[in-house]
Amino acid sequence: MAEGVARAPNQCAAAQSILVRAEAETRVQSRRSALRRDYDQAARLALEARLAAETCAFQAGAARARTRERARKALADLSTALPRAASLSRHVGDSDVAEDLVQAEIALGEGKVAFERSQFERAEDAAERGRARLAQAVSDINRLFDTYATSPRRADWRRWVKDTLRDSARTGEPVILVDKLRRELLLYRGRDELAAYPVDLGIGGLNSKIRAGDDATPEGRYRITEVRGPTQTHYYRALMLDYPNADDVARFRRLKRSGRVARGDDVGSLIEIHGHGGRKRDWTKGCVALDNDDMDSLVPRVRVGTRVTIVGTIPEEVLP
Amino acid sequence: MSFSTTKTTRDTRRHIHTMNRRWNIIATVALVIVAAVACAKAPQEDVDGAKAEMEKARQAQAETFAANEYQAADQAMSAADAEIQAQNAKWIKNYDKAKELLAKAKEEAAKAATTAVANKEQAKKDAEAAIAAADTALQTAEGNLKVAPMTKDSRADLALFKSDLETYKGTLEQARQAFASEDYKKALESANSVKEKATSIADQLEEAKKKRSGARPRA
Repeated sequence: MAEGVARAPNQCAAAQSILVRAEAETRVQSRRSALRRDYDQAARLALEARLAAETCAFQAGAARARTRERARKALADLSTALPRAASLSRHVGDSDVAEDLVQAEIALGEGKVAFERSQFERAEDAAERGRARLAQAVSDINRLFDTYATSPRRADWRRWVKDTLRDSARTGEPVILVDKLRRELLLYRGRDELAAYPVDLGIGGLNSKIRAGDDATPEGRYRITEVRGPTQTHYYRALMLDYPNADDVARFRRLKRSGRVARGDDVGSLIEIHGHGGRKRDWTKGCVALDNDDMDSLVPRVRVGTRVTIVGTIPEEVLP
Repeated sequence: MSFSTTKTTRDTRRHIHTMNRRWNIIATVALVIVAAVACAKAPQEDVDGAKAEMEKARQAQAETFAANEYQAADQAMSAADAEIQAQNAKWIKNYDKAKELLAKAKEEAAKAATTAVANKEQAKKDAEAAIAAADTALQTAEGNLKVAPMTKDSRADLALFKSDLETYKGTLEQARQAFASEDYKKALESANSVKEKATSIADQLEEAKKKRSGARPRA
């Protein structure tokens, strides 16, 4: 009855009320003399109470079945939506987004456990909690993507990519473009895309490198200064870049003068494109990491002096 | 002999008198019964009660949210009406069956009202959840589109996806409007459709990304 009261309150309240009346009528009759005693009305009320209680039980059962179905569907929806959002979150590497997704995952787990224990209201609540965190994460991901579309650095990215491709078209040499947002390294010759490889970036994710130790991948126009084989690097193969270039040094000095970086800080060095990647997360100290097979594929196609342009994202209008 | 004849005549008269009195009583009782039955009135109180329950069911939108129960109540009500009309046309009326039908209509209408309230609440929750899920699916697809690989070959497809997602945004807005006007069925159907299509786009974009990652470079 207690469970029914929660699920079908109106029907159960009616049953309760009739039962109270039946009990009151029984007491009234029991106080009368044996000759005047008549339990007909009490019996009628008791029957009504029983019927109402049966309705309450039926409604409660139906309500429980509905809650069960809602919880099942909500958990299934969350289960399928979470991996999609997690895959997307890979492109932003934002801690708030990551936290939301972790909380959504936890809520999904709680919901599944509650469902297995037939605690359907709890399961539904957990699924709703997870859905809300997931929605927040996806909304934040889109917001961060949109900041890239309207970034003040976008003009620089457009110009750098345009210049790089024009140079490749003129010399016939391949060039490397790294799109940090898409986590992609593209090999171009002139207007032709020769290859595309997924990459892992610095732990700093989409931030642009400012100083040593910020674990961010720099944005700028670089060249390969050295090609290292398996015995010359800890990261399978490596293409050393000329970071910091003149622009990086000038910007660093500007920031130092304005007090935005500490006096003891250094601009950093040893930025490379190397192997041991393919982890589908950002883990380097600012380098661009590729899967070893992809390094095997890339290295023979480039040489010392090959241009490497790293941008936040490649504006779509620039690509051929 | 004379005495005997007189006694017999007296007995016969008494007997006839008694018989007449019995017939009178029977006739009177029969007349009262006939009068009572013939003058029986339609059960207006029961009709009003059943009609009130039917109205409550209509108010609860039972026609939409508890169609079977409401139909059963409506049929019982129609049958009761027909029975009342049939009895009204008779000289000797009997509304017992009509009362039974009215009681049934009342009970079915009450059941329809209760079921409609529960089903409407369920439909509301379903539509609400579907809209939320569709919104997330749409945003996920939009996100996928923003980081989709941009190539000469994919550009036209991406433009189409973008246009499709704009259309789905409009459909989702319609679902929200339907929800606001309590058309939960339409809201649910529209939201589910948006979710399905947006998810399909997100999956195609994800698949394209995987294919591209796995592709070997062209010479």
